[in-house]
This record gives sequence, C-alpha cells and structure tokens, in this order.
Amino acid sequence: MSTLSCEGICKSYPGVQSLDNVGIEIAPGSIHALVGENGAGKSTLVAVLSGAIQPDTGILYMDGHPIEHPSTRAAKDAGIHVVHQELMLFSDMTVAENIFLGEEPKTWLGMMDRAEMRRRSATILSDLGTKIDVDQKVRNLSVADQQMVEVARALVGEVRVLFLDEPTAVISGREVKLLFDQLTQLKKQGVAIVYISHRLDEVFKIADEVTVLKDGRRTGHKMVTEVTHDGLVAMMVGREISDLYPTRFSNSTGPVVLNLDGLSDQKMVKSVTLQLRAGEILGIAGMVGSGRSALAELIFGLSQATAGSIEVNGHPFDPAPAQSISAGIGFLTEDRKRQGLMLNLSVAANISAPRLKMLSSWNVIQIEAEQALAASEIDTLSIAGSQPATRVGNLSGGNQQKVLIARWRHISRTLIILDEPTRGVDIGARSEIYKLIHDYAQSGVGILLISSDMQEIVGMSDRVIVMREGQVSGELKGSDISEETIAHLATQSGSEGKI
Amino acid sequence: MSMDAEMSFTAKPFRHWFPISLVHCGLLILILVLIGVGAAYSDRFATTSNIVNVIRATVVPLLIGIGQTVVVLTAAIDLSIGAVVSLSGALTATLAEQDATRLWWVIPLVMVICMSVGLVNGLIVTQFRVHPIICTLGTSAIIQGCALLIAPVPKPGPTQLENLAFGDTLGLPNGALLALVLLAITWLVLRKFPLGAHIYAVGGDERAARIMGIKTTSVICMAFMFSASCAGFAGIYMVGLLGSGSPIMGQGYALTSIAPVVLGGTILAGGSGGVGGTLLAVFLIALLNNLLNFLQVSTFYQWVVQGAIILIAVSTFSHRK
Repeated sequence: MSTLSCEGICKSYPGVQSLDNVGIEIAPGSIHALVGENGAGKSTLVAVLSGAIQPDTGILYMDGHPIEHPSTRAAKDAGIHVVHQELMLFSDMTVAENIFLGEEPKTWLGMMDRAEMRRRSATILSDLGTKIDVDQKVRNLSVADQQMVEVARALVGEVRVLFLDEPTAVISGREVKLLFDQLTQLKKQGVAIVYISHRLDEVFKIADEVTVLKDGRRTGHKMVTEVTHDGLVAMMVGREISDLYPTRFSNSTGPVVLNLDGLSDQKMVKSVTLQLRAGEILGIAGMVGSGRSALAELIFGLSQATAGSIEVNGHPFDPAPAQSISAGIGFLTEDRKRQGLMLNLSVAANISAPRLKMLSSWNVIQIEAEQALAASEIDTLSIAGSQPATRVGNLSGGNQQKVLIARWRHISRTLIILDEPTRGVDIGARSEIYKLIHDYAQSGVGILLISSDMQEIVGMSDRVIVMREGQVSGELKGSDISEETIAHLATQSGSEGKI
Repeated sequence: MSMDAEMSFTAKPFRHWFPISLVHCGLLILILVLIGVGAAYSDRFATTSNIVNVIRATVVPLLIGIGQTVVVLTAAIDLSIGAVVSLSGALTATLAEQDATRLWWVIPLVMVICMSVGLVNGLIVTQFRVHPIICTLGTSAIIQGCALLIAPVPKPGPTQLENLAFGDTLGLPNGALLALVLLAITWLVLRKFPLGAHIYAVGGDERAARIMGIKTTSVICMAFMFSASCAGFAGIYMVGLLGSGSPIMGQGYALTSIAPVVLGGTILAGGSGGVGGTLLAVFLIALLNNLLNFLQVSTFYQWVVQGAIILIAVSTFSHRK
C-alpha cells in the first residue's frame, strides 16, 4: 500500500490551471522521480502533498485513509518533510537552530536543549558526509553547505515521506554521491522518497519509478527500468529533443575582447590570467566555491580587485557596473531571484531596466516603446505565457531566465558573463536557452559560461578553464574537453573536491 | 573525521555561552568614555547619587525598549507604545482614585487592557496584512484619544505607587530592579526557549518560518502583546514617579523606545539583535542626557541628540542585512 497518495487534485491560479486532475502514489521504500518541464506543476503538487497549499478539489490519502493537511505543521507531524528548491534558511541563526527550528528538543523547563540540538545536528550532518560547524551562522556558509543543512533539516524526527525539490542544483561531485547514499539508506528503512530533478541522468541513477507531469497533467507513470532517456524526454515535452546542444563551429580566431592578467581579490580569486575572444564560448568549470562567481563579480565590477589588471578590447579597464554596461559587458547572476530580477515588477519593466535612457524622451519613459520592446523580446525568445505586463514573479524559472537574457542581450555588445544560466530551468527551456547562447556567440560576442553542470560545459564550450581554490588549475580545448578531464582538474591533488 | 565532528560540539567556543558582540563592546566603550568625560567635567558626576539618578532615568526607556526590541525582532515595529503608556497612566489614576486598596485589581485590569491593545495590533498586522507602521500609527491615535476621553486632565494617583518609583532595595531603585528582572526573563525566553527561536525565525523570513510549521500569527501577536504590556507597566510606574496619571505622559515615547533598540544593534529588518544591546544603549542614552544636563544644555537638544542617534545607528547597521 502506498504511504501517501492523492487523486483528482486540481489547483488553479488566476489564468493558470496549475494542476489538472493529478494523481500520484508514493510507495514506501521506493524513490519516485517527479519530472516535467518548468511550470508543469511539480512544485505545486509537492506543496499540495505537504500541506503548504490547499487543492481546489481532490483527495489525499495516507496509508490508504483519506486525510487533510490543514498546514505544513500537520504534514510534518505526519512525517512528511520537504527539502525546498529555494533555500529556506535563516541566515542569522546557527546551523543547529536552523535544523531544529519548529522541532526543538526541550528540557524539563521547556527550554531548548541546545546540547542535544548541537549533538544531533552534528550527527545528521556527518551522516550526510559533510563537516559543518553547527554553531556557525548560516550566512557564513557556502551555498552547497546551506543545501546540506536544508537536507539535514528534513531528517530530524520521524521521516515517512521525503520530498526533495532539485536538491542537486547547487552541490556537485562528492556531495551528490553522499546525498544519494543517504537517500538509498532511507529507502532501505522504508521511507517513501519523491525526487524532483531536471537532470534525467540522476533519475536513471537513483529512482525506482518515475511520474511525468506536463502542463499540470500527469502524462506518464513508469518504472525507471521500463523507460529510456529519450522516451522520458518525449513524455515531458511531448516531442523528441534530438540534440540538447546546438552544433558548435569552434570560433577562436576573433580579436581578444577580455584579457585578465593576474587578477586577484582578497580571498576567493588568486591570480587568474585568461583571454576571451569575440564569438568564443569560454566555459568556466569548477566546484561550488572554487571562485568562479567571485571572478565574474570582479570582471563586472561588483567587487574590487586587489591585484592584477583587466583589459577590454585592448584597453585597460577599471570595472564598475555602470562602466561595464557602457563598455558592453553583461552579467547574468546565478541568483536571479535576489540579484537579478525585480520579481514584483512587470516583464516590460525588467527588460527595460538598464536602458531606460534609450527608451525615454525628455527623461520621460515612453511606455509604448517599453511595451513594444518587451513584446518583441517575448516573441523572439518565446517567453511562454507572458505579456509585457505580467509580473515576473509569476513566471516559471526558465521564463524568468529568458527575461534576464532579454534584458542583457542588447547591452552586451562585447561580452556577457552567464553564471549558471540554466539552474532550475527545465529541459525544454534549456535547449532554447542554449540556442540563444549559441546564436549570441555567432554574432561575435564573447561568452563566459560559468556552470556546475559539466554536461552543459562540455556541450557548449569552445574552450574550458577549470578553477580550483581560486586558481586556474587547467585549460582544455576541442576534443580534450570531457567530464572526466574537467572533474580531474577541478578536484586533483589530494583535495577531496569539497570547497 | 568522526573525531572532528566530536570536537565541533564538545569544544564550545566562549562566544556561544556568553554572547557578546562588537556592538556591545562599542557601547561599553562609549559608556566608559562618557563617564570619564563627565567625571572630568564635574566632581558630582561620578558620585553614587548621580549614578542612581541615571539608573532611575533608565527605568521607563528600558521597560518600553525591551518590548520594542521583541517586536522589532519579528521585523515589525510598534509606534503605539507612547499612546499605551498614556492610556495606562490615565486608567490607573482614574480607576484607583488615590485609593491604594484598589490597586490589587486596578493593576491587573490595566495590564489586561494594554495587552488587548497589543493583541489588536497583532491581529491587524497578521490578519489584514496592514504594515506595522501604519497599523500602530492608526491604533495609537485611537488609544491616545481614549486616554484623553478617560482623563482629560492629569489625575492624582495613589501615593503608595510612589514606593515603586522612589523606594530602594539593596541600594538600587525598585523600578530599575523590576526592569532588570523583566530584561532577564526576556533574554531567557529569546535565547533559551523555542519561542525565542521562533521570534528570530519570523523576523528572518516570515514565509519560510510559516512553511517550517511555525505559527507566525501567534508569534507576531505575542510580540505585540508583550510590547503593549511593557508599555502598560511603564505607565503604571510613571503614575508612581509623577504622583499622577496624565493622558499625554507617553508622548514621544515611540522614539524613546526605538532609539535604544537600533543603537543596541537590533536590525529593523528583523531576525537579528537582542535585549542585551538595548540595555547598554538605554544606559548610554540616559548617561548622555544626564551629562547634557550637567553641561546645562537645554532638554530640547536631548531630542535633537536622540533623533541623531537613531539616524546614525540605523545607517551604521543597515549594511548588515
């Protein structure tokens, strides 16, 4: 009998039928992958099953009995835990406080039993194979460590159903393996696990069964052994994606647009030297925390270099965001929700933000021009389900990323830095974004592609720089570029690949 | 590896069991500097009797500052504190009518009334999603009006209440002792009890806290009820101090309560800070005001100084969130 199941779940939001008559059965001792394109309704389904939102219609069953989850609290008490895609951590609280928040162990006076909290936190984290100081404030942790804390939080107390929403978006290599080991362990203990991921290779590696959602409907439920990669993709997008990555015609003869010489900051970047040519896609690989994003911020001028020099188009360049924009440098941040988009504003306002001057006459923004620009970008980039006036926060991850690309692509005449451009983006939108990047490079713009997704680096790059502990640990070209060679350079010489 | 994991929770660093921050150190240094300057300026400044004066002057700001700290930690703010002080004073004096035998029911009644004001604030903020500034600005006008309706002119209070304000125990003013007890309890709840962790969590990220299963509505309501009861108690204390209850005696106290909170390092965006900083900041401000009195600077300048302190403190700490 399934631990948790539902049938006939419908949930609609103004203008969107998010879930349409969906049913799923989650069996104990099994890892159930939930896949689908962005906006397919995966997160909504998880929210319904974990009590975060109430469905319009439909029934939930626990151990075969109809139930209601009036709140996340009730669901937690029933043993249903969620590891959220967006980190829901409290940055000013310690690791132990975060892990036990809402389930604090108490002493006889009703006080929090801190010793117990710290001891059990340390145990859970070391079971996950990480070594994180449980007294550290979460704001001081790397994103990868924060993800592990988020996972640890779900393992407090009795776990009967565990939902993981894109848990590997920010961790890599060894940590992914440890997480999978832990999931396998939990599975053996009879926990029902629901695993949401955009990475289909992970689904094949770890899942037992798979449910596919498309446009709010369930389009398939199979045992993993019964499906092929292409078959799964076909169920998700309703069409075969022959090739995710566009064919590259290696282009490394253009003029040098960016030249870094011995660039360093205080701690994250140590003496980085590299060159980027016009029309070239330069992949920057490395573990989370290896200094890739810090390097991007130095180039764009969000932080200041302490040593070394930057040349853009052969001229010395002292970066600050405004100067970088006028020099034709664009930067798509890895944290699109906090540092990239203005979630409460419209698509049009987000696209036009860095070039309001061009859209204004007499310092008054020409609304028609702004709307027209947004409408044409929506059309060109096929930003699905969006009007110029749509609030960006209501769009799916892939479409949000496209809005960011629309914002930057006319500004970035010289080069553009793409930091994790497909994080949390579904496969359909990903292939479209790859095509955009490819076309963009063809038009003569230099592209710095930072990514933790090694397939993406291998599939897209003309040349790859691998970073480790703030330094360039190697450069790969042409047929030398492979996941193995990158992983080797990213983790070599005794370092275990952890930060 | 297991060895290291062992280490990480047995070797407890000093800062964890005595949480003192840079802000606290800075405030302590400023306090010492002020005492030094005062002592250099006048022989009478660093005397016991003057320091007791300063301590007596901290009672009301400390009471309302503690309440305000808890509200600010949940990322809200309570501007109705001054009006609640006035309401409490007006009610106490009116109901007790100089009759000390009535105090046994007057004080609990006044406290309950003040707490319900806090509950109303909390419910308006959580249920109707009104921004706390607007909500408490609105309720404070209503409460101020009620206070004036109850006691249009100041009314004398029972003289026995003066014991609260002027009596000493072990050389310390009774009011100050009570405020310190309140401070200790608040500190204990914030640091040692789950409710405290939930207050910090709600201030850190309300939506995430709700998803974690924390009852955010009741946490915010409790914070407002607590700050209103602190203000209510401050009002009762002031009846003793002044010998009468005036409907406008809490005027300007919203500012008085916010200044030590922000100066004490509690972030207005919520989720970070605590009552320890508020205590030091209250003492620092009282010391500064006392010093300005010694220097024969007009009390109006003390307002200027308090406003400047808020602006300086907020701009100093704003980069942290």
